[in-house]
Amino acid sequence: MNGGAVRLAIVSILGVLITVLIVMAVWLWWQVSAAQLAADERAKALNAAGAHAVNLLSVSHKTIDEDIKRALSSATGRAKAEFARDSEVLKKTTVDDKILQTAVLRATGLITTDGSTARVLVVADSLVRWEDSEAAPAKRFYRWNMQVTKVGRSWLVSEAERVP
Amino acid sequence: MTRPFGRHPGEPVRRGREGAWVLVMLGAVTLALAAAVGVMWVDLGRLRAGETLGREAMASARAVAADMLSYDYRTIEQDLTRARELTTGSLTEHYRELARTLVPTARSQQAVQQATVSEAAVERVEGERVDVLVFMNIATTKTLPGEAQPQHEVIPNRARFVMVRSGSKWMVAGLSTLLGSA
Repeated sequence: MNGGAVRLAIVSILGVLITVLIVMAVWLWWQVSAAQLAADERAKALNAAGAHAVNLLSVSHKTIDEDIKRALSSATGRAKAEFARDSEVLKKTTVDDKILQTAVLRATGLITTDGSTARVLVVADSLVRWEDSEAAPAKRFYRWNMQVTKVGRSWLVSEAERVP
Repeated sequence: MTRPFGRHPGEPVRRGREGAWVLVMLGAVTLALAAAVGVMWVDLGRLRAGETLGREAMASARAVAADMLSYDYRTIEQDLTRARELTTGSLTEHYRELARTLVPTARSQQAVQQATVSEAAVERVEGERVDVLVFMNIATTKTLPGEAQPQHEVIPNRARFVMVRSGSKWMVAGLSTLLGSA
């Protein structure tokens, strides 16, 4: 085998190797992108559930209309319909009792997801104060099992079941 | 004078150098591609492992939560030993300390505590550490000093189980009640 033949053989081997590596790189890039996208979507679903829990609990008699609007904006479907149905009672109670309620998100966790919906556990607590009242502030503890649904590019809470 | 089919003096040397450059370039491209494939392979493994580890840790947390938080005053020492064997790190020492403080109280109050898991979910996966959120109901029966009848109560509860993999097993490295900053 002369030098030219050896060089040709090496070039051929490298050519095949480069072709295989390009195919592998493209396949891996596609797989990594899909897996990263799925991880990002899981994080977004958890954030949406946590944000909705805080929205549900953050109410003040001074800003109740905005508070209700904010909670409705993070919900869809059954969760939105149920909250809209109960919002008049919430508004009346909050205004009549001069309630100032603040919320703290403690934890969110993912049970399952299929890419377009996710089942999420949420823990949040609230502190309720009654303006112009001598009553001591009350701590309240909440647990939810929420279903979060992808609507367009956003995740919204479609079911919010309190876990007693 | 043109020499279309002939060699110029020195031509084989030039072609030899060009050929060597082609080999070097192809080698460099091969190495660069191999490095990129390696990095993406590791990245894909990490992303896929996250899901698998999360599922495994969640199942383990569900399985051990009741043992970690249940006891009967008649068998409390065995109960706490069993719970301690499921732990690792500083939590093991915490359970040792708990055995010193809880046993006398539980016996004097004839306390029985039974935890029942209702839900579990994965909070986050970081390497081989997984935080699992667990919803459970804790039923307690105890007789307080001066009272004839035992008290029964069921408290809805939530906890974060910090699970770490030790060999083929998942151990509990941390337990938080999620109250305040705990």
